[in-house]
This record gives sequence, C-alpha cells and structure tokens, in this order.
Amino acid sequence: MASHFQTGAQTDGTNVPTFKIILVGDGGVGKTTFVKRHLSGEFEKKYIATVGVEVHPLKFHTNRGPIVFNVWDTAGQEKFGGLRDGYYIQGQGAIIMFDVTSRITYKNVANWHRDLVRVCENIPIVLVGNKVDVKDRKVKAKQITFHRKKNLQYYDISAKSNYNFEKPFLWLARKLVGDPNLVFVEAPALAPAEVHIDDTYKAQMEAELQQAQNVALPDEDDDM
Amino acid sequence: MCVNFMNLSSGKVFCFDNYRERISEEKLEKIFSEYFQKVDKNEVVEVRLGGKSFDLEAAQLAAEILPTLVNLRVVSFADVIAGRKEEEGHGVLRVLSSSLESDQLYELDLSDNALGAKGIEACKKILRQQKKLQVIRFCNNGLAADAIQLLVSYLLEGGGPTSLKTIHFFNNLMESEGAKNVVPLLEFSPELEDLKLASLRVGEEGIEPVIRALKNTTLLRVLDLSDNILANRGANCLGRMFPLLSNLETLILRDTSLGDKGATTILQCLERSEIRLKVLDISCNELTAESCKNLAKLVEQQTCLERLLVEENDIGSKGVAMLAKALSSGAHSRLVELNLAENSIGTAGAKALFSVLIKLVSLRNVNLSGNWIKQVVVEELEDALSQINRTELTVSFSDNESEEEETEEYEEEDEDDISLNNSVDADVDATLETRNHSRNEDINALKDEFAKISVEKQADEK
Repeated sequence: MASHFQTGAQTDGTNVPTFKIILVGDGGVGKTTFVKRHLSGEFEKKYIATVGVEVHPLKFHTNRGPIVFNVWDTAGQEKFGGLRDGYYIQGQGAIIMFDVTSRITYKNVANWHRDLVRVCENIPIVLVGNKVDVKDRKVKAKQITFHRKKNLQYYDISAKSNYNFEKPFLWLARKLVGDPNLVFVEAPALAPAEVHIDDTYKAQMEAELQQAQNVALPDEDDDM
Repeated sequence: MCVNFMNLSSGKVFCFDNYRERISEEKLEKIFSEYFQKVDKNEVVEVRLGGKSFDLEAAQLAAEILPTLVNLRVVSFADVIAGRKEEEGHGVLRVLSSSLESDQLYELDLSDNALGAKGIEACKKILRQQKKLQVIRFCNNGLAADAIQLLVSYLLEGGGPTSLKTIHFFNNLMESEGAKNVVPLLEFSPELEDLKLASLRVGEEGIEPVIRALKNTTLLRVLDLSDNILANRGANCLGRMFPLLSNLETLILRDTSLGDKGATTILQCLERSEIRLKVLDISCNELTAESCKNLAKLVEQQTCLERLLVEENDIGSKGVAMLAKALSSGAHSRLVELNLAENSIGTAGAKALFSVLIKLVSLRNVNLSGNWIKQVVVEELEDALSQINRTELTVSFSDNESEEEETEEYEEEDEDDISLNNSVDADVDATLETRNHSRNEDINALKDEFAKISVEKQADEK
C-alpha cells in the first residue's frame, strides 16, 4: 500500500506513511476534546515526557491506502516562545484552533501562527474555529480573516457534534501527499455526538462563511 | 547573566532574564548564590520565578530559599511548569506553594500554568494560609467551574472577609457556572478596588449574579468584564448597580454583545449616576449612531475622561459628529486617547472630529484607521494637523479606503455627509484660527499615570 505514496512521510514500521501534525491554540478551545473524538487514536496515545506533550496517532483510510497522523496535542496555557520549540521541530503540518465563543482565543491565533512558523517555515496549516454548535458566537464568520492573509485553509468545526471533524485532516492529507483528488474511503470511528447541529443551521453557517470569503480584505496586516 | 536586579523604593525584586528554558537545580543554585552575594536577603520583597520551567529538584531548592526571605511580600509563580507532565508540574507547584510562612504575602500570581482543579488543589497551602493577600491573578490557567469553586473555598477558609483589593481572572473556561462560584468571593471582599473577569466565556445568566454581588464592593475603581456576554440582561443588571459604585473610574465593556439596546441602558444609567470615569471602553459591541445620542450626552458630562474607546462598532459620520459636539466645550482637558477605528466613518465625520481637536489639549492618540475616509481628505486633515503644531498628537488613518476604491457605500455615506459638512467646515476654520496656546501643566503628570495604566495592562496580558 505504501508504494502508492511518494512523499516525505515517515513510516511506522508497518509501512503506513506517518506525518507529524502539531495542534495548537489557547487553553479551553477544545484541542484535546477534538483529537479524542477519533477512537483509535485515543486507544494508542503516547506521552512524550521530554517535551510535555501527548501524541495521538489518528489513522485514516484513503483511496491511496491508509495514512497516520501523529497529532501532538500541546498545552494551551503555556506562553509562547523558547520552551515550545521541541513540539514544533519536524512538524509536517499544523492545526491552529480557536473557540468561536471567545474573542481572545481568535486574537491569539496570530501569536500561535508566529510561534509555529518561527520553527516550521513552510508547512501546510489549517485554521479551525471550534464550538460552532453554540448559538451565542463571539467570533462571527465575517470576522474570521486571518487565514486569508496568511494563505491557510479554514474550517468551522464542532468537536462535540463531530461536525466537519475529518475536513482539516482531509485537506492536510491532500497537501502532504500532493494529490488534490485524494479522498477518504472509510469514515473514521468517532465517539458519538454529544450535541446535534440541525441541517438548516449548518446550511446557514456555510452560507455565511461563503459570503465572508467573498468580501475584499483591507491591506495586509498582522494585527486583527 | 540570568538575573535582573530591580529596585523597588521599599526593597529588591528577584526575577530571571527573559530567556525561557528548563532550569536544573544546579543552575538555579548558581543563580541564587550569585544574586545573594550582592543582595541582602532581608532586602528582598518580591520574587518572580516565571519564564523558567522547574523540575521537582529545582522547586525544592527554591522552596528552601523562599522562607529565608523574611520581608517577602509579593510572589509570582506564573509560568513555572511549561512542558512538564501534569503530575510533575503540579508537584512543583505543591512544593513552591508550601514553602511560605502564613499571612506573609500581599500579592500572588499563578497565571500561565495549566492548573485546572488538580492544580488548584496542589496550591491549596498557599491559598489557604495567606490571609493577608491583597492581589491575586489567575490568568490563562484552564480553570473551569470546579476549579473556581475549589479556589474560592480555599481563599474563604476560616470565614471572615478577605483583604483582597485586586482580583484578576482572564482567559479561563469559567463559563456561567463558574461565574456563579466567584460570587462568594466578591461577597466577602469588601475592600475590592480592581476586578477583572475577562475572556471567561460567561453568558448572560452567569454574569448577572456576579454583577449583583458588586453591591458588596462599593470601593470598586476598575471593572473589566470584556469578552463575555452581557447583552440586555447583563446591561440592565449593571445599570442598576451604578448608584452603589460611585468610585468607579475605569469601565471596560469591550466585546460584551451589548448592541444599541444594552449600550443605551448602560450609558443612560451612567449619566444618572455619580460616577466620574477616566476610562470607558465600549468597543466591539455593534453600536450604531443610535447609541451615540446617549454616548454624547454622557461624554459631555464626563470631563475627567482620559481614554475613550469605541472601536469596531458602526457609529458612522453621524455618530462621530455627535461625539465631536460633546467634546467641543473645552472641558475635556484630560482626554489622552480617542479610539474610533473601524466605525464606517466618512469624510464629514472625520472633519467634525478635527474641528474639535484643538479643544482637546491633552490628546495624544486618535485612531481613525479602518474607516471610509477618502485619501484626499486624509491628506487635507493631516495638513491641518501640522498647521496647528500639535506634534505630540498622533492620528492614525491606516486602512481607510483609497479614492479609486470608492464604492456604493460611499454614496450612501456621502448623503449623510452633505448636511453635516455645511456646519462642520465652518467649525474647522474657526477653531484652527482660535488656536489654544495654554498648555496644561498636568499633562506630564497625567502621561505618567497613563503610562502606569498601560504597563499594568501589558503585564496582565502577559
């Protein structure tokens, strides 16, 4: 199966291509909840004491064979800089997460991004806004512009309802494998949804997001 | 060189350099011994251990040194366990927080550590035994409702009022449930002057009991509830509290989902109260010109204002013109900062504001970035500014729409502008001539005070 891939992936001894994915964002945005939705990863997680991080191996089945993302779930309460480099070194992709119910977590996205690209210069990065199941949002679709300034991919997600769970991984898989047509052929085993988002609300969010993407941005600016 | 020497008027401060690293017992021993060769232990009043990640051995060494500093009053254990496994990190906090004598401390900062309820439990000794604490900071600690409840129970153990003057919670997972758990702490802190409960994901139903508990804290000078949800319910509740909070000087309600309705309630209730504000921040609340009628009435009366922040709303030229009129009396001689960025303000609004700048003798910063002011007007206004020789005054116009990007929005905006323009242009000419030469001697004193506020703010954000 591994012969289908021609990438910089590591293999895990069973010839399954494996990628290191760094997961960052403020405390309480839902990083750990998010990775724990994927049940196989939860079963095999490892703790790397030297850098204080939990690694969850998440396996996905693609039309080109299985791949594994080793997701490094880092503590959001830590300050930026120096001490975090061990998390980032040799990262091949990243997910920056914020919480749409807390403005500060979105404001800090710029800091997480800076901290990350300081070490990992040119890796594919997905920005995700979690907790979109909560109706009292603090960060509205039209205010989410950071990814457009930095050429990142963006997805609304809701870890508790599994909404868009696989989207960031599919995008990263396509980038890392270098195949824009790659698809997942089997849905990952996820923990059952704790909340449910109705289809009308999903459609409304998707429309708002689409509309926001079409608005012109002001000049390039690091601040938000 | 791993240590900074700082002098407070009343003693010495121990803190590390800015390099973030894991610290070993050996290295810490060397740093301490070098420091105490130069500084008498009795002189040390403040210790900050942040920026270095401690293992258990290093923590034990620090725990041996700390009790020998008999005049120690201020301790920061913020950011001391980065990258440590949960168990080890909490062990470090347990060792550090068990090292001090009872009732010794006035200030304690535990920010930027992944605490949660287990971490609070690890710190229980310091939280239970320091009954003279005046300042506590728990920012970015991963505290949810259970952790808050435990923390408050430790602080209130033994009953009786606390000595707390400053309570800062920022960027935690408190949510509405946790906010209710803070209430007893407020009820037993009658000396409270500075309360920050910001970015805690608290909703209307959680903020209400917190606000009601402020009836016990009538000495309050600073209240920051930003980045939670107040909406109408919270606004009504807070408005009813203002008669009891007459010492309030700084009110930060940025990003609290007020809307015009909630803001109107707040502004009207402030106007009727005895409160004299130095700082008002109502940014990011979806306010339109409708709120500005009440904002203008309030501002007109609030002549002690030093900073007025209204950014990221939608007040337009109409709103800013009302505000400008309210500031035209010449009585606002302390206003240092005016932030009107991202407010859909057009040409007439900008001109209206410029017509009163001359009256605002202390003004240092005006932010008009992200508005709809045409480039040709920006140049005109910048020229006018240089003519009045106010070199200390900075006006930011970044990200205003350039001429060639004019859109339909402008045309709409221009209709509003025409009626405003007539009255405004006359004012600009008049005020530019009657240039006010009197320089306020208070400016420097105010500047110092203002610098202090922003330093504190930065420190909090870190």
